[in-house]
Amino acid sequence: MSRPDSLIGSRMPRIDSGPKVRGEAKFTADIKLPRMLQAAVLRSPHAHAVIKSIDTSAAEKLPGVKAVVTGADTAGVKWGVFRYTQDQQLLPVDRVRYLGEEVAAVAAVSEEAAAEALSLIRVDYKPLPVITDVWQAMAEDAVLLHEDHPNNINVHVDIEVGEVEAGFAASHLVREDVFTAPEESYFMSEPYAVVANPLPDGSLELWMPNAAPHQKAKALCNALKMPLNKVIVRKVTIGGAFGGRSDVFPGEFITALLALKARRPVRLVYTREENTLATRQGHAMYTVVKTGVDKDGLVLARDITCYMDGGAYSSTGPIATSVPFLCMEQTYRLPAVRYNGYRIYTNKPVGGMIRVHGRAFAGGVDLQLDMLAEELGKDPLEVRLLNARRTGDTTPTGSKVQSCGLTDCIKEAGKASGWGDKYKKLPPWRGIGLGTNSVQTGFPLGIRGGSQATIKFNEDGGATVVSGVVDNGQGNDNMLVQIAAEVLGLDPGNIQLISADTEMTANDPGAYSMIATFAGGNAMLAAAEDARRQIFEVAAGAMGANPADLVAAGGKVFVAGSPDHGLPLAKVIRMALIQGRPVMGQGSFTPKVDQRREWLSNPQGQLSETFSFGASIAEVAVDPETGLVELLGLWLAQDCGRALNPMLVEGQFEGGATMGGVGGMLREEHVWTENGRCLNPTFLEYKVPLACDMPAMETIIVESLDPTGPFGAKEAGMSIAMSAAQAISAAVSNAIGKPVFDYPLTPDRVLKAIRGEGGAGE
Amino acid sequence: MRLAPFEYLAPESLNEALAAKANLGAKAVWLAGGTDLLPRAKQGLAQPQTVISLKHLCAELSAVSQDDGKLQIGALAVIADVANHPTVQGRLPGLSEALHAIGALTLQQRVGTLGGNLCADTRCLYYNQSQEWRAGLAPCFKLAGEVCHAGGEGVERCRSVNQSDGAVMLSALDARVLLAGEKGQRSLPLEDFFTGQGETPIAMEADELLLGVEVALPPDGSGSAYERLALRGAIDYPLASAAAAISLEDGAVSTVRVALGAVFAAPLLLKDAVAPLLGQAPDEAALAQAAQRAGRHAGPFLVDNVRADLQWRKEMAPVPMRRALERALARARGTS
Repeated sequence: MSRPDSLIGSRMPRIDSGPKVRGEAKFTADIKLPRMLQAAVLRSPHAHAVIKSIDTSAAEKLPGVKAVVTGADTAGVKWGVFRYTQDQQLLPVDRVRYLGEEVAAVAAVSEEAAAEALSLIRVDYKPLPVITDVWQAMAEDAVLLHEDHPNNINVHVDIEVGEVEAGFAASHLVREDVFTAPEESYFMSEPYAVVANPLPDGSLELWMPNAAPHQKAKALCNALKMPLNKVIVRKVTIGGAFGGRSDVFPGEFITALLALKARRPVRLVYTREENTLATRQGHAMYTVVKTGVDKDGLVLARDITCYMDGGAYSSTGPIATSVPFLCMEQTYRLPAVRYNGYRIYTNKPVGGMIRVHGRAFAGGVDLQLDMLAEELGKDPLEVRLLNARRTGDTTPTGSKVQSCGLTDCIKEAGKASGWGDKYKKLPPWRGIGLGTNSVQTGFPLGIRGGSQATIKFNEDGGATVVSGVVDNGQGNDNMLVQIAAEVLGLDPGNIQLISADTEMTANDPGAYSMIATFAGGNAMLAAAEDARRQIFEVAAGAMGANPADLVAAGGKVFVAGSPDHGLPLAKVIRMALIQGRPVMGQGSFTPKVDQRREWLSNPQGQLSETFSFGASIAEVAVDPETGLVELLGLWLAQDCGRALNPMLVEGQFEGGATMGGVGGMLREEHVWTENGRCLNPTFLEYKVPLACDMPAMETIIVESLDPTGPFGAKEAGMSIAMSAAQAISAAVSNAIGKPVFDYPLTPDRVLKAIRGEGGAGE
Repeated sequence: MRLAPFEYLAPESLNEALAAKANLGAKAVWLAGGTDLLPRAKQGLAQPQTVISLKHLCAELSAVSQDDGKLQIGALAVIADVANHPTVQGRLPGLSEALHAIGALTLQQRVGTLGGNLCADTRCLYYNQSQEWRAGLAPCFKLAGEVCHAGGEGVERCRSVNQSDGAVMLSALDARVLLAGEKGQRSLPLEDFFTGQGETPIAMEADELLLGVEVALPPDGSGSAYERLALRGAIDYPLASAAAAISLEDGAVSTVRVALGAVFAAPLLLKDAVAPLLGQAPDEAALAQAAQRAGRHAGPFLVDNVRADLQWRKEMAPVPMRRALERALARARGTS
């Protein structure tokens, strides 16, 4: 299908780079509307308290204040990703469950007036006991955050496949270890912001950084009790998501309420602290991993129990509790496995999805395999290869794997890094380690599962393509245009993109769970092929040719092999108009997944149509006196199916290794007081890696050419974000000659590991 | 986060600046590069009625000059200009290292000033937070309250720490500061410039301005070095830092001054810890013992108020100290 001058696989500069580099891209906080008000949110100073009363009368009287809302304005409307997890009142009526939870909000003519109004709101709280970890939460006498959840257990994922105990009994070696990590955050460059604009026709326009405009609109129309077509989420430039924008937050609900009440546009811009504490964060984890292997290191059975600190509400709970396990069951062959995942309520901010699904999960599974390999006198790389997932396999929970380049990733990364010359041959306190991982390209999402695209043409032969896919920084806009341009033989500059606007685009599942290219790209591919078929029919009539022989390239339609005798596309489009059959391409794509699969009640069946796989290798030097780790090199290999744009894929690899690997495994963590107060909500004390902290990174693109991905593409970067973290923990462990159980590997934890401490959980 | 409104003055001369400050007193603050002031102002930790910009005084107060065996550095000298000055690099290598550790390259090159680094406020995880964050806690000692959240009960004073790289090194170099005020100028050793009180860490009167720093150039056979531990290669304040300055006579230590940072409200000068080195030609073990003594002295000052494990900080205090001593001595001996 692709030509020598194909855009697919080309290092095409992103269509959105220019405006971003020039500072012209408009983010939500840049939006200015006539008569727009500024909103501010009053947040709970207590991690757990009963709201006895809220008095907003003084705030309402303050000049410049146009609207004040509290839980009393909401009838206690609740949010939850699933019907059975609707446990978060979007504005709490009677109780707050974490420090920073929304209590009231105002809209005023200036930020200053809004801030002053907040100071006039009187809230009478009755503090309740504060629970800040899963052990306190599960204790018998613990106060319950949600009365209907005994022991504060929010979610229990229970999976058992195969003969687990028999597998352990047959094993040559069995190990059980405990791995822990505290919460982590996204630190998107753009703090959360919302603009809501009530229109005269009764509809409400909204802008906010999001990962799924259609899903935001649906949740909001339910909460606001408005028809879905009246809740319009508009497209806006987005400064990062990393899993942390895929949920629905009180922020947009509150801004909408204020706008409707004041009958004026309202803008809410979060501070960095609010972005950290009042959106989502990564779960703290305590993971017990037990693995049995035969004398070659082949895994015969695995049993994992994970306790996740979910914070105050469910959010994506059933998904978040499952995905860390699912990633690892995809990565390695497992004849028998048991998983018990518990998500526990505590009085901390809400846990959500994050780019690394459990450093104390994936890191533990991989490191333990290294420890077993070590005991067997085997090379960990060989043991990974022995256990690695392969094309045609079925995962324990029943997903067929239709394309898998994992062994190539491991081998290529091994070769590039010089593994054979380094493993056990490096000088003291130097180490090398390998991590492998796999992610989904979407989940069963019910009616959310599919994406749709349309294409219309202009009389000059240019096209406007329409898709619900949102771009939150990863390059989805470019992906859509690139695919359409390739199929239609158009210069990308002649394609206008309309996307991520719920009024103008059809439904799309959203750019999370790694589904955008696979579903949205396939839908666009289908629409473009549909348009091209129509174009060829018109052109074939005019040219006296067989449509099957035609090619679209360079803005022309011609018989294959005769590019000089073609018709300009503009002419074909005009002919179609005159003939009364205007070209309008339509396409949709719904991944083939088992819609009966359910996270808790039925975790069996095809989870995702296809999966991506990655392997990373890290080389480190450890200062044994301070415990500080220096990264010497990262080798990043991923089977992304097909690299539609290698420049973008490499960027995803490097970004993934930076965030998940270097940030996630070496530095990033939240610290809390016993009262549930986060001590490091800002960029200065939450240690996101800097450019100067990154080593040289070698990116290795492995292309398994997925049979149903668009041009063979799957997903780019996620399995690097995860495997890089695993590689670094393995490398540090290799350098110090002791396992590292507690993450991130800050110098104090490394020193403890050197002394053989840690692991059993502190 | 927005700055609260304030009056803004940009006097054209030193006299005009001093007159304005004398008139406004503590209600006004000086603005040089702003890298310390602006984040504090955004967090409501500095709430100036008036900000007096020193931008028109740069020509007057940025010079680095040498006179009578002393190096004079204007308070408004840009950090990189001092760090890269040939005399600093040649005779005060520890100072060059310390200044290169401040903030990030961009801050060193453009906005950050030596004076600003010396006057940087002490820091604490419970203090350097937004107004909204702090609103949920009782005011601490540094906010005129009666509690230290980091230290807990039994701590009766502010335990915020000085994390200025420049201050620690200049303390080890026994630098002096030159202050100007309504009643004229005065010169103070850095030891007296820092009060050691977290609540009011700098001994400047409300009418005073820091004009510059004076460092005696050490004799031949001297060496200095600066070491710090941090999680990242830039931006981070040191989690532990140490400065050492050593002079030798006939191979034996004639003077030695060391200071630790990120421990106390002032650079912690540890004279007793290194006194046994005087008159000696110390070996590695002697330096390590001195560093251990320094660490032991530092331990009791530490509370859990810096973004690193407290036990690790206690253990680490001797490490940069020993490394700084080793490198300073090697430099003094001409072996590095």
